[in-house]
Amino acid sequence: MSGIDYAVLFGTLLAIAFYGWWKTRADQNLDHYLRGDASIRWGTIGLSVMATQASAITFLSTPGQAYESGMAFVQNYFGLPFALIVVCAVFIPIYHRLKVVTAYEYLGQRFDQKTRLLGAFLFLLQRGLAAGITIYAPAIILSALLGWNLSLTILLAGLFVVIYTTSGGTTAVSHTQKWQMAVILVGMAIAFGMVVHRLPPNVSFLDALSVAGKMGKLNAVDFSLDPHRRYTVWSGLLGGFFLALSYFGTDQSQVQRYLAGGSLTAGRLGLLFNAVLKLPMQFFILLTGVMVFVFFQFQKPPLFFNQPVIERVAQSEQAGNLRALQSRYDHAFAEKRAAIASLTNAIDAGSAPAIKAATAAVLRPQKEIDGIHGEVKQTIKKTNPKMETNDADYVFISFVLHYLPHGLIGLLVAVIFCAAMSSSASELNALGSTTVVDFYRPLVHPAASETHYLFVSKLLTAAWGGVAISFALFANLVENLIQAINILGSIFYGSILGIFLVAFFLRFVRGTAVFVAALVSQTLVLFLFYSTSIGYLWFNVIGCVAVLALSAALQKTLLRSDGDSVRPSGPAS
Amino acid sequence: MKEPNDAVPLCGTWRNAYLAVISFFLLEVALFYLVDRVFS
Repeated sequence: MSGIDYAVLFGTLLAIAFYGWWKTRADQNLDHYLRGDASIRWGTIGLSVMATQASAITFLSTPGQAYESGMAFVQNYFGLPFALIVVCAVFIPIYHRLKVVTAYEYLGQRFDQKTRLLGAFLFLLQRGLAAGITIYAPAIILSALLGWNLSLTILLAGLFVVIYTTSGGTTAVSHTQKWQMAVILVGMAIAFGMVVHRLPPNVSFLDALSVAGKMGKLNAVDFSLDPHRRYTVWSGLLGGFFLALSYFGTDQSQVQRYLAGGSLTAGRLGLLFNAVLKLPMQFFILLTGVMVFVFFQFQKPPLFFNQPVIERVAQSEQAGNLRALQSRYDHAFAEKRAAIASLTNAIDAGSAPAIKAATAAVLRPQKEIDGIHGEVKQTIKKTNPKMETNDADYVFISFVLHYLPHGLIGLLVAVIFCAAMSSSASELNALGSTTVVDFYRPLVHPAASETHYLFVSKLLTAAWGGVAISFALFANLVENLIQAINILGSIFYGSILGIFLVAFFLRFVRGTAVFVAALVSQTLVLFLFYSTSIGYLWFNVIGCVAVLALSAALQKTLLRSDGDSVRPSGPAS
Repeated sequence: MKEPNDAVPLCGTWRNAYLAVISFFLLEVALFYLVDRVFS
């Protein structure tokens, strides 16, 4: 990166952080701090919800995923519009009517204190760990490729966020996310334009789509019923629906976004904005990855995109193996490049038999290259079993660093930082609010002044920021940490969603029944996790259904005498 | 559940807004499918 890149990067990050602090410098009201002020409109809420979900990994991993496996991943989001409609129609009106600050406060009003604390505790456990990873994951990639000090990169991403989130609360988070999302969308649009621009002069955008299609990268819709396929329309609709419903409906980092501003209509419109635009956005990010794939059909990519890892292998006893693989790779790529030229000529000529023959000629060396890539991973494992063998996350950022002009490199690195900061700001804001509203105020200091709660809210937000940064600084000490956190999320989301669905739809069920059902269901999910090989996405469904069934059964049998009256918090009231 | 029908841009009621979102989703999926069919 050059001086102009650093100027663009730091200029962007400092301007947004300063804007967040400046916009809220006089805001010293507890309600504003936790809920946001009334000036927040639906567009800001919509961008804020989008920015919370889109972390840095979204922009590092998703194009890499398309580079490796095509567009199929977009199907994971097929359940999202339906889940957001349910949140708009059922969840938001209830949260508004009861004037809650956190989603778990609603559980206290609908059931009892212990169920509220259980929901809030599960959120703090899961989101508290995830906040560290939100900062750590992009820092490890950027520091590896740019040669930056990992700890300094983590501190850079973390400290800005802690300062403006602690000082301005929900309003600062919402307003900064609006600009962060603007930087992200502009940066990604420019990156897309640049990759298409960098294709050879005789290859148009439509030619590039044809090459990608012939090589099986445009597979965005798969109606297959084969359960072994990772992404299909059906798994996306069902699994994606439950995941999105629990994330948007019960995760305080999202709930706080659409409750900001205090208007029911603004919250709903902000979510519907995401219901409409999230899918095209993911499609566009994946298409950028596909275009990077097409670009690297004409320009030789490295044998392995994670260069620091491959350099370590080159200096080990596996260096001979690596040289042999490099030689085979060079030969296969030369063969493929010639075949690709024939394919683009055949596409331009519109000759179906020639296209078919050229496609077969391309796929043959591509298969060999895929095999060589697998062998490179095995060689890395032989060198050091603890070394990272997944280079998909490095594909997009490698393209940015090597093929974009200076200035734009700084902007795209700013995109990664903005994404990391926007997600972690929502997390810290939600963690601080939940700790104060659900634990500190009811359990520690029930009758303090607003000024006291405002001070404690700021203190706890900063403390959670400290926890997240510390966790990120020591994250490399724990093996497979990111996967562990993802699994942790899926293990708990199902039960939390189950508690909320019981609250909304099973009005005869009371606190003790749902509390016991949640504990039993959580134990069941943990047992299944340790004793079976079920894909962890399914734990969302299993945990949720188990809480619904068990709580209803308990209420109707063992706890029948506990259900005389129902609190007025259901959707029908 | 009764929902307020005021101030829903373009759609008038929330019910229409939800139907519009679903229609848009179906159009998006059809477009993704067509892109794959046309270029594969």
